[in-house]
Amino acid sequence: MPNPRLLICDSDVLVQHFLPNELRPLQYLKNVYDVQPAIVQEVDVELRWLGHYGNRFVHSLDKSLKAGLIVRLDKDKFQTLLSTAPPGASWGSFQSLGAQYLGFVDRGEAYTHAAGVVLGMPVASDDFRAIEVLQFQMQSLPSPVLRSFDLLGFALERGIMSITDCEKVRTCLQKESRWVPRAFKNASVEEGMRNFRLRLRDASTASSPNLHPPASFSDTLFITRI
Amino acid sequence: MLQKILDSAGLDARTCAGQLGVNPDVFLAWASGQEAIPESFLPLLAAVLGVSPSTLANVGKASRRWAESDVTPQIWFKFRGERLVGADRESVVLIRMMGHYLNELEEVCRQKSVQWKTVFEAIRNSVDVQAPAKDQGKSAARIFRQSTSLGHGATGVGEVLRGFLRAVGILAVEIPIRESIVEGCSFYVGAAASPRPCVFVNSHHATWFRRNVILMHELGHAIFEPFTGATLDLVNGPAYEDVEIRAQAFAQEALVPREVLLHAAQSLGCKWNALSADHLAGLVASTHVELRTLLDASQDAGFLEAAQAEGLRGIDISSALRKLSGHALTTEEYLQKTGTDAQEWIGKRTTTLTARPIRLPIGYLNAVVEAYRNRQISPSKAATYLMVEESDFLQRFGDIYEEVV
Repeated sequence: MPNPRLLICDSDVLVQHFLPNELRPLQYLKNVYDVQPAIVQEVDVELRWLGHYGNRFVHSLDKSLKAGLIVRLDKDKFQTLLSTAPPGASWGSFQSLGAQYLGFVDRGEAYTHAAGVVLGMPVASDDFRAIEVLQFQMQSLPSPVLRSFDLLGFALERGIMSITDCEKVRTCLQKESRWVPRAFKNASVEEGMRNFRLRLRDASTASSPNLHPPASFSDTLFITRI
Repeated sequence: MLQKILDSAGLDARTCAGQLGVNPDVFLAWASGQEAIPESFLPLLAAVLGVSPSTLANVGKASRRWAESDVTPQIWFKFRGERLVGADRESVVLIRMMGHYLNELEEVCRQKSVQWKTVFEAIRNSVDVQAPAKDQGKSAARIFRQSTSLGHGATGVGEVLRGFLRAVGILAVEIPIRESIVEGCSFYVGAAASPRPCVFVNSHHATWFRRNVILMHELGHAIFEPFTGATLDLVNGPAYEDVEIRAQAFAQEALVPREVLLHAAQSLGCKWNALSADHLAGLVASTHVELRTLLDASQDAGFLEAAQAEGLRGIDISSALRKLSGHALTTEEYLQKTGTDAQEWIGKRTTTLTARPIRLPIGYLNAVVEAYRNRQISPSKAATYLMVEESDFLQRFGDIYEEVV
């Protein structure tokens, strides 16, 4: 099973990386697994003016875009991905599905999930409420939907980040009143990881050699080092 | 193209960006054509500005030759008048945004009400366009009452008015704008394919009884003047113009027709030739309209002579009215009397992401919260609709979701 070419990230997941200034999980994915973190135009706009944060993330975003750590999934970029996308995928079908999801969830989430579904790529989003609404409304979801802590846990498991680094991230997020998964709310990262099923893992850690592509938003995605 | 539209409408790009929740620099780049407006933003921008999405997306050479009058949406001609302030235009942006959101919400909830179309059409088809303005207004009001639930019974309809307007698909918004001289206005909101009438009342220094009249006055304008883009009523504006006479006659007849007046006077035991301040307060409290409209209606119904009505206009009924109706109390007095928590009553309806906090219409708020509770929209979507942060929304209305482990 080849690695997905993109990981389409929602604003909330990127904010979880920008706030503690911890971009190693994304860099590692890109450099070692050739999985390119990407954002849809709607997330780009959202990150440049985000509620009470205002324009706080503009600098981090621009820096990441300039360095190529994150790419913007605009029409041109989108077209280059169509050869490996499921049948029927087009910019028009993406826009139309995004507009449909926009009735149920916020703009960034709507177009992030729509891009994931149309291109058959994983996405990263922490908004479990939006996922539940889309499920309840019988809308398709990308497989899988990774959370920011899946990326953090993956980096920890691969030895890219230490427990101390992860703990710093968790503390920073809690200090900023950001979302942390239930498993980490009143537990250290080490304890939390025991009760947190990672949705992103290296293929070498899989128990079975026959890896199936994830079929649901909560399935685990196994990726292979390039 | 966007900059041309903003200029012609008298809208400041930075303020507009703030209202729409977009970084001002990004918005300026869209306005100058430096960056293309993402397709997903076109429907919202188009609905707010009153142009078609294709006009906004147009950046070709031909568009540069378009004159201002080619691109200025009808509504903004009215709102760029010298006597109007930035706050007026900002409010229109917000209201039009609310109209767009309401359309979106009703489509998702499959509760789209277009009953207003049938009612408006019935009126337009029946009213004699050659009749005097006042007759046109009254005749329209009678059809309006007959074809809706408002005509049932002979009591005041102020308490059900807002719910009724919402149920037939009309957006009614009451926001206090201190610095504005606009008393009320009406215009259509939503995309060209799904317009909906919107009636707006500036609630600053206007009693509930007065606001009922303004709401119906504006509704009269929405029925009769659908092609003018917007109808504006300014404080102490001209009341002698035909369109104003017609709208006021509509409001008066829709709220206090003869039978309602008669029923109220009989229940209170009022003698028309010997009305005291207490009687007048009783009549205002039961008909739900301000004294001026009540006296005009009494005169039109033949209960009072012109001189009698004139003599009664100066009577101060405020203290008597406060004893009879909770609607005559200030918000603070009302909260004190009912023991309601101010935060519970006001706080939940107030926006926090807009340049000036506004109190949203209760019907709009309820529609959003109900959709959230029915899992039709996510809390972040609901927060966008209520123009607050998601965390504020969850704090105000509770979290109904369980995290998937």
